[in-house]
Amino acid sequence: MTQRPAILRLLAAGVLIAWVLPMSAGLVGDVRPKGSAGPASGFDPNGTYAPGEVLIKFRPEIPPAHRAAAMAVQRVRPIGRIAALDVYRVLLPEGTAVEEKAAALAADPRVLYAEPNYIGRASVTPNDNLFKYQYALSNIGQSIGDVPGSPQGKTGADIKATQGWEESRGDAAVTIAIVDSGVELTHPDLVGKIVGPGRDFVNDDYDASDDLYHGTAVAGIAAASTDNGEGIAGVGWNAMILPVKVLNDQGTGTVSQVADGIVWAAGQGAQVINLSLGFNDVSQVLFDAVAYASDQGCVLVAAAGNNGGPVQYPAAYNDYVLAVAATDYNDDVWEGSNAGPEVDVAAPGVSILTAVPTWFLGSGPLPYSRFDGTSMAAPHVSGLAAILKSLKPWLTAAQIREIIRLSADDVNAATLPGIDDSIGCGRINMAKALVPLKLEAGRP
Amino acid sequence: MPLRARSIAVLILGAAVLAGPAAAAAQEPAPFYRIHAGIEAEAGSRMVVWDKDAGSSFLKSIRGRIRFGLELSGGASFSLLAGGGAENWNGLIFRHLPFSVDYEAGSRGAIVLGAEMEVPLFRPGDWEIGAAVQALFSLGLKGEWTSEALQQPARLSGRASGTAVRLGPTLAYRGFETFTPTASVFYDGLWSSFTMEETIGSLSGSEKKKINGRGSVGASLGMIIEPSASFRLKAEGFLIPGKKLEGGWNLSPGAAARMEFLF
Repeated sequence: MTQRPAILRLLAAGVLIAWVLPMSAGLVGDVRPKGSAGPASGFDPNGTYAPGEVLIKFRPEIPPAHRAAAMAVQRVRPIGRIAALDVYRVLLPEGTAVEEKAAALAADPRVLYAEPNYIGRASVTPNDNLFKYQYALSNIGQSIGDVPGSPQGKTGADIKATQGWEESRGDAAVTIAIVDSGVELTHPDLVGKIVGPGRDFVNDDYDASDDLYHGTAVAGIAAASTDNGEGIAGVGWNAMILPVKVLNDQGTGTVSQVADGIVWAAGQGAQVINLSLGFNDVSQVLFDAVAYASDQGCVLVAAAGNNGGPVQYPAAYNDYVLAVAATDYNDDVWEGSNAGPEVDVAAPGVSILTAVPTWFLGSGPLPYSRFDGTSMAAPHVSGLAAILKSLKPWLTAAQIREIIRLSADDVNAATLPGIDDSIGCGRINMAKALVPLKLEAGRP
Repeated sequence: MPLRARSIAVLILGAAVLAGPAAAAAQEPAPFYRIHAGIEAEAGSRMVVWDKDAGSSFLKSIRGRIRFGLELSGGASFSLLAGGGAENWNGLIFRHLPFSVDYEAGSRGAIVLGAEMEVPLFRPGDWEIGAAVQALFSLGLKGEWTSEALQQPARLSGRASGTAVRLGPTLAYRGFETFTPTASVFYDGLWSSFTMEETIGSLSGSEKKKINGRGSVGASLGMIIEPSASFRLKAEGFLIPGKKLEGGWNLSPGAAARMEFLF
């Protein structure tokens, strides 16, 4: 009898171990870390549908046993059901193409329909009355142009602004310097966004009013008053505008004027500097100016150029400036967009609706017009840079440039996969740059 | 028969075997101390907040533990706890990384170690008023993920760790022979962190998110069933109220069950 308690203790200990070990294994086993068996963990912030899932509705007369058999034959496993709709959510075997499997299931005569489990997303749509024409921000296949017979955009060929704005609409503490032909300071869609009269290096004064149109157009794209019930929406939504005039009424300016403008903007605390201008020739002064501003923490964004040639300067100063090419409403490269290894990203630059000075179209028409060119593409990127800077003010200029590059969509991957001279990393994608990547567990 | 079901059957059989000799031994004078060993499981959903109330989510956890310790003749006991668990951190958003990350990867495994002390203080009639304190430390297993959604592969790794302390007065009614209803009010402290590291091209970042339980006072109701002097079952349910960041209140629920042998 004296030995029995010891035996019982051993038995009890064995029972405990037998209980706890399998339970612990089961507890930790529902996430599949990298390298484990089964489907890899992953996430797709912009996926079209839930990976590995299909929704199936059987014909009502099909009994449950036959439904189960049909799913077993297709090697799909039910993981949920919308009872009121009699719709099953099923999980596909690892590595199965979702669309192909959905089609195969739909072909089964017992199945009424089957479709991928599409992903919907919340988005922010501003109430600006011309927003519906801004395909660059949200392309729903709308008409591109104001007259009958205008081309139609391709749905989704846009910078995903509405999804990006869901995460952040920027902050008025971030300023985009528009180093250009000035900005119409009293434009109704800009007046509330301009931090001051700016600086005019053409006339050497402190009134950066626009007597061309170009700077006003660029400013409108970057940061027009948004959600104010009129006009257009600016990519940077809440970002402010610092007008810096370096181009005259003919649209030309000297290296010294541009360099002065860049240095002055940096000194004024602009976090983003938009340079929708270019020089064909290398200039050490211009190089030094962009290097200086970048060292001050400014994100510099420049147009690649519009003559189909090599990338102009300062866009070509790769270490300090994001060079922006232009795409159109179909995500095709704009024919005039300059190309070269210096191109970082692209943005829509064809038939871009934006603000113009109130005198530009005369009395009557609203002060908005459409323009083409990389000059119009660049401020889309500047607006995104401004939101990134406001959302994550600790990021350096180089990091912001890299985020914009890495989050771009390779829209010409079919012909030029990867980074190429036409659009660099691709057309910018505000959703990928701003919205958190969704980290999801692998599925068994 | 699945392994877990088989384990349960073996366990119940073991309990029955142990109960017999223990009943006979109950006639002997009570020893100064007894060794107890057991297993326990706990599951709960706890509202947590992070980064000084920047956001909130619900930490769902399930834990299985082995318990081993001493119980003095006066009723005081001290236990060491060890086991594993799974903690679901869904809803954490890391916005200080170059590319923000929304954690929805579900449960992460964790190793759990801890200690517990229960002390009876007063026994007015059939009632027993005491105090209990429990401290648990968990170290999560590292998870790794890769994304191909960006221009270059994004590599992420994450790991959680934390400390949970629960202490407070306990109340038990000892008027029944084998059944003891219990209740307690307790302070419940939860201090965790989840560190996420991200590398994408030339970009890299690390964000440690400090996570605290929302609400710190809870209450429990439970029962102890003692079919013999050497075997007992304990079960309890608890609620921890906490104010939601967006207004209103949430009751974080949980339940625990314990099976113990005394030698």
